[in-house]
Amino acid sequence: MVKPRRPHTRFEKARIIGSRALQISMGAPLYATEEELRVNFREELVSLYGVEEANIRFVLDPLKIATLEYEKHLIPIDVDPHLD
Amino acid sequence: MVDKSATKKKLMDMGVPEDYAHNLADGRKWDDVKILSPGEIAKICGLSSDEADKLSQVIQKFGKRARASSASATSTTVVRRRAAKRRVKVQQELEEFDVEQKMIQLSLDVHSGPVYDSLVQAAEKEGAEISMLTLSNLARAIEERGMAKLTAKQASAVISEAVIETNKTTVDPFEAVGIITAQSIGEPGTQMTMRTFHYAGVATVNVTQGLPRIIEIVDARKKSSTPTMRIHLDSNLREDEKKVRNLAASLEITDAKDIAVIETDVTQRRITLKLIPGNMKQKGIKPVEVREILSRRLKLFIEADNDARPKLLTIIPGRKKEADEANPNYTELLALEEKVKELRLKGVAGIERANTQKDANTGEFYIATIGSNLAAVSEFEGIDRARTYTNNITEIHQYLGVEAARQAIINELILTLNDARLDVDVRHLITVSDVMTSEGEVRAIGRHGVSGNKHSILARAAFEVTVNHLLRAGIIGEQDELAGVAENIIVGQPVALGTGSVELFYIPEES
Repeated sequence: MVKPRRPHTRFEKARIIGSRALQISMGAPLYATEEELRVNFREELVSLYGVEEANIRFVLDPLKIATLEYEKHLIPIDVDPHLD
Repeated sequence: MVDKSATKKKLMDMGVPEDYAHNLADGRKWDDVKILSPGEIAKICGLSSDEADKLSQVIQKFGKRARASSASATSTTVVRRRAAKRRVKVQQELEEFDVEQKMIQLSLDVHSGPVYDSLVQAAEKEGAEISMLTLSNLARAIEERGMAKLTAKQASAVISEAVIETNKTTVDPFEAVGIITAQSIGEPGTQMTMRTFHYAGVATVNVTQGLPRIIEIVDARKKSSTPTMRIHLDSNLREDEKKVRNLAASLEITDAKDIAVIETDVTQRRITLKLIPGNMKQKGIKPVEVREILSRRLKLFIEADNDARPKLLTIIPGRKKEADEANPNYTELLALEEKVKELRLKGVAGIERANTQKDANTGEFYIATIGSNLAAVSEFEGIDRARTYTNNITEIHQYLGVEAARQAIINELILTLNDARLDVDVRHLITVSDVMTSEGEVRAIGRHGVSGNKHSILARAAFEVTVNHLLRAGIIGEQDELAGVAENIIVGQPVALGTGSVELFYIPEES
């Protein structure tokens, strides 16, 4: 959805993911759908809740969600376009 | 006709090329020539205005000097004229940098062959920006591993791997390079302290090594404690040991006290110099020359026991000519004694010793010196200025400029670190050198240089004498932009480095 204008430096990546994780941790709506998350974090959910409940229960680290969103270019945040 | 040739000769003596001298002297006397304006000179010689300007400056300068000396000395002796002539120093033109020659020289180092060619092709195809040197190094390494050829597929695999590795060596913007540099030099530096203070006795020239030398470089000392030069010579000189030795002797500084026993006769108020033949031969100076130089420099009559081959020279303070009767007092005598002892008879100021040495690899002779004077040595005939080296960074800065000084700092740091068998990446040293020279002059790292001249008040206050800086800033109402690291830490803000440098923007989704 939102492609960066240029490849981010590792500082920029860290900053964007960090900010987004903060938003998520405070209850912001997610850009990634629940389905996407369940597919991507299947193993972790299984290890947390067992195979039966893995499709029902859902608690994940906001940082992991933010990272997934970043990698899928879902976060509508970019580096200050006026600085380059 | 007589007039013309005399004027022409005079002009040529000042370094005016013959054709111009000929044109200028045509129908003019010297007095007419020296008042010509640059415009007139340009017209007469058919020169551009720039060149005419230069020429006119030379003539004017000489005109003034001639007038001054003719006013002061009515009877010009032979010795005096030589003194005036010696001072006319034509500065050597800068040699133009031969780009083509350099490119040829560089391309000779490239390891060419089928492997190299296929790598170049692959790099072009992939659009990868890899330097010739890297490609040639890769080609060499591949051939050393026993591969004489590469398929296109293999080549592009090598290139893409090389691109990844190259990207790893680059540094992200806003990385704290300075801190990494400080640590990278500081850690090996701690090991260095333990084994310093001994000298590497290479070729009788002792150079400060180890930590003391690093401190010297980084402090941008005006005078290093052991300045040395390595003087390389032109191709027609460097094979001939005798000529090189002569040149070395003429560079080496020679005092009166090196070649004579100086005695001060207090009762008769005079100074005698007993010349030592052995020392004089070694230094390549003749007794007659000594007498001449002494009389020229002291502006006194020097009495000799023998006019052709003097062995004993007598100097009486105040006796300017042979006929003069001088009655000096005791203070004059002592002052003269000091002067005679320190008088430079021969050589270049600053060069204490000059030894001829042979390069084991090329077989050429070069001169290694204790003491350094890059400017004076560079003006000597027969010296290869491109390869002549001094370890005195200040001199390099003065004679060749900041860019040269920057490289000199890097070179000297590499040299001392390598001598101590420490492996520090060049890029750290380049960072240090850039910080020192980026303001157009060589600044020390520390109170008097980089740290003391910081723009921000808070950063300076954080470094040293906190109260003075703050008080001064308060009195004159200075402002702090809070741009640097120290300021922001004091204020309690994130520093503009790494993650702190990023400003985030909400980019609304395009619908």
